[in-house]
Amino acid sequence: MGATATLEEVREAWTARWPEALALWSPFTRLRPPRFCLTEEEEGAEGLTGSFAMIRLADQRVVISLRQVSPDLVGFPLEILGHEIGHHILCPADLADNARMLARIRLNLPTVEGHAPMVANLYADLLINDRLQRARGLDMAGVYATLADAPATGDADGEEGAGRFWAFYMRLYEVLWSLPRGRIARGELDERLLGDALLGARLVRSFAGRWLEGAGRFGALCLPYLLEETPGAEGAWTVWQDALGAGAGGFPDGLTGVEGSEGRRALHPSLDPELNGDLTGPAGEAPAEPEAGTQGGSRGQYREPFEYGEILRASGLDLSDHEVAVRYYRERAAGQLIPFPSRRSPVALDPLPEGTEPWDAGEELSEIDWVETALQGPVVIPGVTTVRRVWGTSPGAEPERVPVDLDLYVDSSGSMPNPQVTVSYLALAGAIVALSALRAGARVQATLWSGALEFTSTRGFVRDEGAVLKVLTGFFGGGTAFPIHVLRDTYGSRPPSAGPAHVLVVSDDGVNTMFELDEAGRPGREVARKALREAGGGGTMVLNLWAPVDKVPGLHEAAEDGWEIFPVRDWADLVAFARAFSRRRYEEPGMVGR
Amino acid sequence: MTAAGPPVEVLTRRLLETPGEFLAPTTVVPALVADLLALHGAVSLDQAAGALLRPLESPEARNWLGCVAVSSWLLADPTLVAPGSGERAWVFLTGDDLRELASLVPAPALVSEPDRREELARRALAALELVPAGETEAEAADRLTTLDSSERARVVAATREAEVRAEAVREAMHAKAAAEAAAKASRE
Repeated sequence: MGATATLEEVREAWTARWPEALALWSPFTRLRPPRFCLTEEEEGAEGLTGSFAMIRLADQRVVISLRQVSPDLVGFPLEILGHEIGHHILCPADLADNARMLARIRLNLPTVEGHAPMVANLYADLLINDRLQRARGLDMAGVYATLADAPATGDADGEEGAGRFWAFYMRLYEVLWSLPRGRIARGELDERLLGDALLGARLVRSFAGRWLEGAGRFGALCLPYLLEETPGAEGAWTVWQDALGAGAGGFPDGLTGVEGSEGRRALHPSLDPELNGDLTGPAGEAPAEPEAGTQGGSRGQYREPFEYGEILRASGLDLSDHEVAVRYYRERAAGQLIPFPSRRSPVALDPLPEGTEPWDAGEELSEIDWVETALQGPVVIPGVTTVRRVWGTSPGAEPERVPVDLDLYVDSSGSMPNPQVTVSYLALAGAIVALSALRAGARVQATLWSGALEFTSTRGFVRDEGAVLKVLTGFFGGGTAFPIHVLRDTYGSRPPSAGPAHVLVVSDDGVNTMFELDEAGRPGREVARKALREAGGGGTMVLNLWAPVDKVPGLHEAAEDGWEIFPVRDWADLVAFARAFSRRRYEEPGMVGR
Repeated sequence: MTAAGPPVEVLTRRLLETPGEFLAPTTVVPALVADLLALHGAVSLDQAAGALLRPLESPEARNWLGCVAVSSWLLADPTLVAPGSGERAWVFLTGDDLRELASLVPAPALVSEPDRREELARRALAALELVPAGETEAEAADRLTTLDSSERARVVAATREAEVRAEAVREAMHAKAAAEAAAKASRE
């Protein structure tokens, strides 16, 4: 197809080659046809900026701007389509691996972590292009050579001025594909650059089948160039960044955990015996031990929330710190949910309709009573006008298990870690218990508190997981004053038919502010004791304590009032608390025991 | 280099198919070389020449003999055999180039490693004054330089030294960044 073909003709020709491009990877490959954009408006609608192509892992889509495809590249439909498909099939292929690749590369780009998405994209391109060039016989070298030979436009598309990093990257392709020096690499190719290109080519071949392991090494290889890169030079390779926002619109699961060597900085390939082995003589050299201090990032099995958020953002997700924290604690709690305690009560022989109660987001949609909801107002507002039918019961012989509601108070004073930055075991404890309660069918009221008038709550007892986690992962960082009025008002107005609730306070030694006078001048201990009695489901304090429980003022009295106290300092304590909590029973006299 | 030789791929394929016996420690290398030279039309080995290829005890010498054996298999490829090329083959087998290669590369790698196969094939072609089919002299020389083990070892050693120095600097930067992140976290 000539350079004078119209965009419609190019689209038609490229669309016809799509099945052939799919077959490059496997005869069984299935992927939706690409979306070809012919105008700037179409590109904007797809979110295509910077590069002439992009992939989206969330909806497995390939988007190509034919308007931006250089006329010289129109003759490479198979190479470009096959490359984009390769991002879906080979690397990164899915949201989780994309995020993990970014995590490894970020760790190896200290101080220039912002370049991680670009480096990840270029690494994936290497793996895909090498496969297509050598195993499928495509002319990927021709694509790069065409652009390298094109006269520099003086803008970001020009190869001139692209800097040493781009020269290194192009030289790497020359080594991989046995191209003569200078065929696509421009600029001065000094000894260091030649050595790195050799090692890079070896890395691509050695780690082709386990590319995730090689990602960190590739980051280490790129680091010196990125550190010395002048601002603006990255414009030259922006046009190739087709997987920068690959993770946008989706969400990778399982990312809070650190897998294998993911949490360690990789050795530079020149120091890595796995890559420089036969370049140091027949016997090689003793494997270099990672130097002390080369560890970075997460030290344990899990990432910190801020690190988790950085990886998500590098994947193309646009989330606030608070949204990141909600997802972080939801994922970490998901694997630790406990059998939430319940109360046995007699079951009804016949259900009796007893009116309606508010229906909240997060509850079963099928429970909404639409007739009654419509009677509340002409506009349906979930959680506000939505109601569900309440069925009464008449006592029967068979016992029924009724979940106990959870009334959760989480300390967010200045002495507590910000759960959006570092892992907070107390926020995690709250999340585990709250999600367990919701799973068991209970309702949860969550209150985050700090100093006087510094508190936020869910709208009463709700079944909306997102609303509960949003409260739990917030942060005030102010003074310490337990919101005794919330506890008082909650049980002062709770209808007798509401059933029992368990009061769970997550705090540190600042919990004893609960026993100070409330705004009406009543002793907090008295208010708390009354609330505990009205709640009917008992009370627990999970406290981050470094001193023995009996040395903290007020806790002895709390225990006397019926509070169960669990000191928590680390993960092991948290697990112990969760186990103990799940063993709790609420049977009342006369109920059938477990 | 003046004459056109076979494509490099033909020779690397032959190397890939090197019989295991050529790498066995019991291989009588002088006999292999004598047969090869006869194939290339040269006179048979005399006693002094044969002594050069006697089994030696040091690991380096054993590795070199292994390289000579693999090279003998390569040079016996029909596309390389030509009357009058025996002397050039002998010079290649006993010359400095192959000794240098043997000092850097284990003989089995000349069979198992793609780059090392190509390097040996290109070195052999150069020694026989042949240019690989489809390449110019300049292209062939450039590619051989890229593959050259001694050159690669030198370049990678230089890269490694530079990286060790740079890593020390980066470690300091990393520690600084970690301290700043910790300070930021505590502020928040």
